[in-house]
Amino acid sequence: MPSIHPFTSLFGRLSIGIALVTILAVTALFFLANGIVKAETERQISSAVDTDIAGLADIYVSGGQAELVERLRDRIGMIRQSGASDHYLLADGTGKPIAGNLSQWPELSSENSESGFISIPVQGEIFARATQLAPNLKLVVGWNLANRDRLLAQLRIAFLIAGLIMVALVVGLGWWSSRRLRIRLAAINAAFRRIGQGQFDARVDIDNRGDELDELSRHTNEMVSRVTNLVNAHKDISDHTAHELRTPLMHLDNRLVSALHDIPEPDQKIGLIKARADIKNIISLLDSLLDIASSNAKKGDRAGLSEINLSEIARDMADLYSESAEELEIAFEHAIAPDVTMIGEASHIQRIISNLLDNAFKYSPKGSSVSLSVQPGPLIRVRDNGPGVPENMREKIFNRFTRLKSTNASGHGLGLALSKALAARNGLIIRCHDADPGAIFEVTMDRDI
Amino acid sequence: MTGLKILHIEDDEQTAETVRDSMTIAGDSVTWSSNGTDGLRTAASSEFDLIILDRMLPDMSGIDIIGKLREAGVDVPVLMLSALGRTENRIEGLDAGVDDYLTKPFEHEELIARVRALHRRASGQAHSAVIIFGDMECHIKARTAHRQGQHIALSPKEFELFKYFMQNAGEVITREMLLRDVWNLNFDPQTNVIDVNVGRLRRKLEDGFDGAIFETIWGAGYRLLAR
Repeated sequence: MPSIHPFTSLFGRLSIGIALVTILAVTALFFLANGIVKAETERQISSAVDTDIAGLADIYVSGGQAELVERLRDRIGMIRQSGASDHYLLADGTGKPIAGNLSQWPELSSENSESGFISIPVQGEIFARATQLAPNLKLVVGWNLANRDRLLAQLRIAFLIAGLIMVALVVGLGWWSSRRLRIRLAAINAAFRRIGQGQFDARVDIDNRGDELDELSRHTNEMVSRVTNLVNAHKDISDHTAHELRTPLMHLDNRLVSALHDIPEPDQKIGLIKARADIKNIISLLDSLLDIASSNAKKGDRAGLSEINLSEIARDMADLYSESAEELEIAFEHAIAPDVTMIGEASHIQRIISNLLDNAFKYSPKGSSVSLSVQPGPLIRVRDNGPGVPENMREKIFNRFTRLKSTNASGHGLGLALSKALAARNGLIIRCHDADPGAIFEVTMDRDI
Repeated sequence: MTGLKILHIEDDEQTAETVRDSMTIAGDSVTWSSNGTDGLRTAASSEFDLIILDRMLPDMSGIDIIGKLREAGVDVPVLMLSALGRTENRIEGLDAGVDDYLTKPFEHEELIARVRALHRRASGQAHSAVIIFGDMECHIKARTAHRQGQHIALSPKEFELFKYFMQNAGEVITREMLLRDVWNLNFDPQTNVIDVNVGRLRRKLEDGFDGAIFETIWGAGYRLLAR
């Protein structure tokens, strides 16, 4: 059973697609959550800084600069004990530090009560606001972002874990459901494959889940049943036609044989002998028609075909016909490339070559030449120097019962039609060309099958 | 050769008569069964040298019968005599396990020749390295032909043909047997390629010698004669 590569399988691609979409969705969701959390924590920090700076401004108003310096020292002392890391700087109009734990005035305008993120040594980025307490006194209060960063780190870890779990779940679920689907579809595919190989009893098991695949399986089985009936009916008709016609013909032939036995005069015998030959002709006509019908019905069906050595077959046929050529005084040449192989049925190919050679010899006058060549591809070519085929007949001669009017050759006009049907059964096509003088018949792969 | 015991399973009475007449003249005895069930029973109940089997019987197909026979361990050679004569039908029959396939209508000589050849093949004649018949010798391994001690140069295919005649020396060999066994063809080419090829071998073996060794049997084929 040919298996489909996971990356080409519909389900493999579907699983990969779903996993990618999940990763994308989780990533987008993470950025959204990250943005919200960041904005919210920053808003909280900003509002805490505002509250702090307002409190300190009140202290300055009520207690003056000395009181403020005292309080700032207390706070910084508490900061050291608690390990928190808030930042203060009280400076004069030029930015020269008076009190606090920041070494220099940041890039913030106190007149505008500006706030923003600033960088300080060791601590890195903090959020700070500056304010002008008096014409020659300004204050900056800064809070670090440890809270925000901790929250964001937690969020990242949470999303990473959740994302991994989701992708694993989706991939697992996808794998499991696609495996189930694959198994059920593989059963349908296997049934078709078996039917293709000629096992018409193949049926798909129905799960009875009432889903789409059940419906597909049911339709498949119905179709297979109908095709089986048609194939059997076709075989039945052809077998019975052949049987029911041949049996009375055989009785007729037996009577002719008895009559031949009883009649002593040679003159009278000739008529009976001809009648027997006619019976043989009718039977061969019937067989050819049935062979054409059967080959046409099996066109495209690879069952029963196997790798065959075309070169060997062609060599044997050339060998068989070379004696006839000598007797007919026709120069017969053959150029057969070694080890040309193809997928086909040997007896069909033998018959095609035999029909083409029969025709070539039949239509070639004494002293002319016939050639058979085989090349890889495969390409089988039979060429003669006979009267050739008029251009408007080069396709028609492959139709049943079509014969060239200019010739009076025997036969029932089915040889080329049968060759064409046999060729099609083997994935080949026969074309007729002008050999100037004569005709060329070329058998090649039919790309349309 | 003493007469063969033949079982003929066939629903058509006229065919049965024809076969019986042909084989009786040839010195064999024929038991006739008119349907598959009866035929299978008869085949199991007594010993036969050969079975002639119709392809389409009212109660079962010849293909089913051959399957049942082989299943039951009956390994008697079977000649299928059938109204279905297309290559496809022949291959089906041979694939099903019949030993030879002959289509109706047939020549009496062809039927007798096939029955004889099939019996010969089944009785397993030892194939020696050298076959001698009359004044002819066929050296299988060396692939050489001699007549009256004189080497006859043959092409590879001519040698195959000669060997086949020597292996079946003295018996009627039909064109269809030659097509199938020497050229491996399951159909009859429109032209007389077989006659032409036999004619050439005949000239090589007869020219310059006294006495014809090939006898042409009208309506059937050829026979190799001892000189």
